[in-house]
Amino acid sequence: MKKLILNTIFACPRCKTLLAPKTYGSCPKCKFEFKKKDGIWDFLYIPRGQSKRSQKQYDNMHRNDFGGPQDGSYEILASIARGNKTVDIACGEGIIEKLAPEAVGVEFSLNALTKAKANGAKYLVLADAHALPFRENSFDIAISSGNLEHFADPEKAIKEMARVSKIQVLIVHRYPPFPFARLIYDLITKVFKIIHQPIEKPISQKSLEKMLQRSGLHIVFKGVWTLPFNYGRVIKFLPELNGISSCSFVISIKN
Amino acid sequence: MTKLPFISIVCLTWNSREDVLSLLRSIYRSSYPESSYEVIVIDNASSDGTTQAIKQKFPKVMVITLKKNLGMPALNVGYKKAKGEIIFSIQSDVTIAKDFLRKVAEKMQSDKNVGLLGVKVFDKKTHKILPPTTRFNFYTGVISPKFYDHETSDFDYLEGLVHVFPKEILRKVGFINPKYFFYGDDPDFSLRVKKKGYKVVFIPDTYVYHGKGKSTPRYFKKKYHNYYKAIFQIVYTYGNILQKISVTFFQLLIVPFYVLLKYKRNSFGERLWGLWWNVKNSQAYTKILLASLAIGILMRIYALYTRDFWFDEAFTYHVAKLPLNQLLGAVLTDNNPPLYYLIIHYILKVSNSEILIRLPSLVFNLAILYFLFKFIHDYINRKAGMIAASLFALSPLAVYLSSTARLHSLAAFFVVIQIWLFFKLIKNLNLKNVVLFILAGILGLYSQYYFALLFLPFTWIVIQKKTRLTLRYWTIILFTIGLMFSPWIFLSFWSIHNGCSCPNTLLALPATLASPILGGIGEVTLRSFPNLSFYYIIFFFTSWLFYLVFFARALIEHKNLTLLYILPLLLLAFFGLFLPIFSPKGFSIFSPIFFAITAVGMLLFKYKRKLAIVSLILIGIISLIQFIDPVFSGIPLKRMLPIIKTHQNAVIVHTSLLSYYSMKYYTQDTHMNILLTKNLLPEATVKNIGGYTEKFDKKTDRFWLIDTDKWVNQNERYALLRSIYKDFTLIEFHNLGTASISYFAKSQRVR
Repeated sequence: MKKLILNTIFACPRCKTLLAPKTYGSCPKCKFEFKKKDGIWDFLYIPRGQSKRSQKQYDNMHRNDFGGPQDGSYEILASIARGNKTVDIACGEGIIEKLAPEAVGVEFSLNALTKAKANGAKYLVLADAHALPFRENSFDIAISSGNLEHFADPEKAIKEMARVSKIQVLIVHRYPPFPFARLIYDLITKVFKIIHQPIEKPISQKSLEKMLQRSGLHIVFKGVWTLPFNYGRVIKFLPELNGISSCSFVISIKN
Repeated sequence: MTKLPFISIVCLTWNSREDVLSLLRSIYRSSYPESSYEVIVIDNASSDGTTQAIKQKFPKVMVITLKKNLGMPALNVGYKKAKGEIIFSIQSDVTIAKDFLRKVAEKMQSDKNVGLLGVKVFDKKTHKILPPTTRFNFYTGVISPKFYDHETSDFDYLEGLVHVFPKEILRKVGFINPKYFFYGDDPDFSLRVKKKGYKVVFIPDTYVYHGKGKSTPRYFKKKYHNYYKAIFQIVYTYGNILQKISVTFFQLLIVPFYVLLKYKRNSFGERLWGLWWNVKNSQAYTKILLASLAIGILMRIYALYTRDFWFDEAFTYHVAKLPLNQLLGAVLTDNNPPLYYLIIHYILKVSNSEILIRLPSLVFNLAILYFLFKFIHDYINRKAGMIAASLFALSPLAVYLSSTARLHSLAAFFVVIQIWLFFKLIKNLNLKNVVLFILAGILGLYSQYYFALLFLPFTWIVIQKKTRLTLRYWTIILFTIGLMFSPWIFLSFWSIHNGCSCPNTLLALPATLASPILGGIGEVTLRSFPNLSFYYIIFFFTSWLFYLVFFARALIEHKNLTLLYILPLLLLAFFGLFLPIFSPKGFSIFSPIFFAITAVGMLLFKYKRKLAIVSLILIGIISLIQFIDPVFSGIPLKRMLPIIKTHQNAVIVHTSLLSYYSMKYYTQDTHMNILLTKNLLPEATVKNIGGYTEKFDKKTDRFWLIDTDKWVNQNERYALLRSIYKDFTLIEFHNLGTASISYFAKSQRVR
């Protein structure tokens, strides 16, 4: 693998003009300003209002311990990332980057990125997944692990991933595989407002597949991944459901 | 033309003078001959001079002035005075059509089966149709109007706006229930009429106008309170158990949210008031049952969340998590059939949380409560059923079984079901009952072996009572059940079994008889009760004797019921003298019958209600003591977990089997667990679920030691501890009562 030189693959997140910055500057076309501070590239451009609101909430949430499942899924994803030019969409506190430091972590919460830096991640970019600041085909693999369901516009995010990478590895929460699950889920999250993260809209396998097809991607593998439901006991008195197929696991490649 | 029937028009009014006057005007304008009807107006303590106004303008009208507002039941006063064949009850804000009385009288004369008649209603101002026919959903408590344009009986009740009925109906179904002050009186009346076999009919031929009268509940303070109260009251009076539970759930938790979102009105408090009114005005035994149920369910849920996962449960878990073919192999080496393990096996596919693993026990336990009540209610009497269910709700044994991931709740459930079905079968021998009986029998046998003992008293009853269920039919039924169970019997004969660690009859029999009242069949057995404080022993023993009195009394009087408990017990006790087969814990599946017998016995005494309350308080206190006193909790594994987490990846070594499997469940794959002493389980079981005795590897630097003196050979344990203390230095030590946990590291001794 050729060594990744981060500042050669940047593009303006707003108008996609190619950029090759050293530390700071602005887009020659649309005057979008970017900078590098404490080892973190700031390309934050959030096109959607809903994302802006959830970005603030995530920033607050990342002040405290955010955590993640310790069932070995991150080890597996890191082993995919290692040795490839990889971008990790919504990397959070850099759990994958801790195990695969060469991967580029993209996240829109600065607090999370500072923690990721402390965890040993090398390349960190502050940006929104709906507007990635990278050139086309600059990565081999894009990983999105358990975050597409928290995006304001998941299809736009997939299209962005498809633009910058050849292979996409997606883990997406879907509705639990019970009868009436969707109804119960919506009742809990929308009516009772019991939610873990600002936006919670699971994506069914079918609609995920459609989104991928619309983004011009060819699905090579589709399966399930078992991240626990009610993880960390969002509803405190109910048990954590750790044995059900809660997530779609899809690998796709660009046509 | 036949003679016109005499009609008594009864009108109830409260502070709405003008409305009444216009109603009276419309009545006297009608085409019905004035000699064929009378008008009775009941003034519900109005303060606007209604009585005087009517007396002045319509001197023919009989006015009854009440001193106090009685609500809708004030109509009864008028009904009693009424002389007519037909009573026409009407609210004061209605005016009637000209041909109304004639049409109604014709209908009532032509169809003698009509118990209650309703007509079309129009709004006075807008002339829109307002349906008096209403549907009442007994599962949600939601009332929805239904429009009809033809004669029909396809609705649940008629609004009380206009009720027409023959006077003899009152004799058959009674007057308006005085417990309904406002709302609910009309559905109650309609349902009662229907229940007596009369028709409740709506006819579209004639109509009345309905205005916005002042006596409508618009000005009534507790309007909604009474409305919700009535919904609960109707369902609790006429619904079955499922409808009662479902309506309580819907009306308290679902509908208020809907109302809040749609009408922006908070109705939670009003609904709660309605529910509370119903509880307050229920019968004494219902109150006792409800209180016991509430406390019992709270205790069960508390236990479900807080009890430590002990050996038996961990054993269930480790067997159930095996793949199916291995699971059956492992169960064959155990002393129990596979049904429960299969249920848990499928639950583990969802989650391995202890709450979820224990949940089936809780569900089956609550189902026992219901079927125990139903069985006694159907075949003995309602009161005994309520007392038995209350006792079962509070019993320490039942609370224990409901919060333990073990098969006894499941088996006890089938025992109760089977008894209920058996009495049904005796009473009514039909294909449905036979099939259900056989099915429950097979499932019961596949959940516990002791279940088979139940067929002994059944056979006895079949022989004694000469019913349609002859011995020939009975043999066929038994044969079918046996045939379906034979594959498992065949397989289990060919496999090596756990040696049952059951005590001899001399120990097991008292424990069995005491366990429903005193518990003591789990980790803390009755054998350790003598170590308790003196007061506890005295208290436990006297309460037990207290119950035995009722038990003994019922033994004499209710032979068929006691047979169900005594025959299996005697059989086991006899064989238990020679073979280790008598397990008090296994026999706990018959404990619901114990409570049935006790409850029946209690009702044979003089001060039944007081005795019931005292006995419930006693059993409740015993249950509470067992919750609070740490002696009754086993090894506190949950308290060890945070301690263990302070040293990641350290090996955990156990001196006793008792803590080994449970800790293995709690730590899953994060820590290695090693058992150092002899595993008491047979080789065949250990082969499937793991847990070989391992030699202590002296190369290990650091480890946690969980040490308890239970379930272990003391000599073996001391030798082990001695060797550990010799080679390692104690770094941390936590004494947690029945067990201790300590952290060791390799000694750095200088030679």
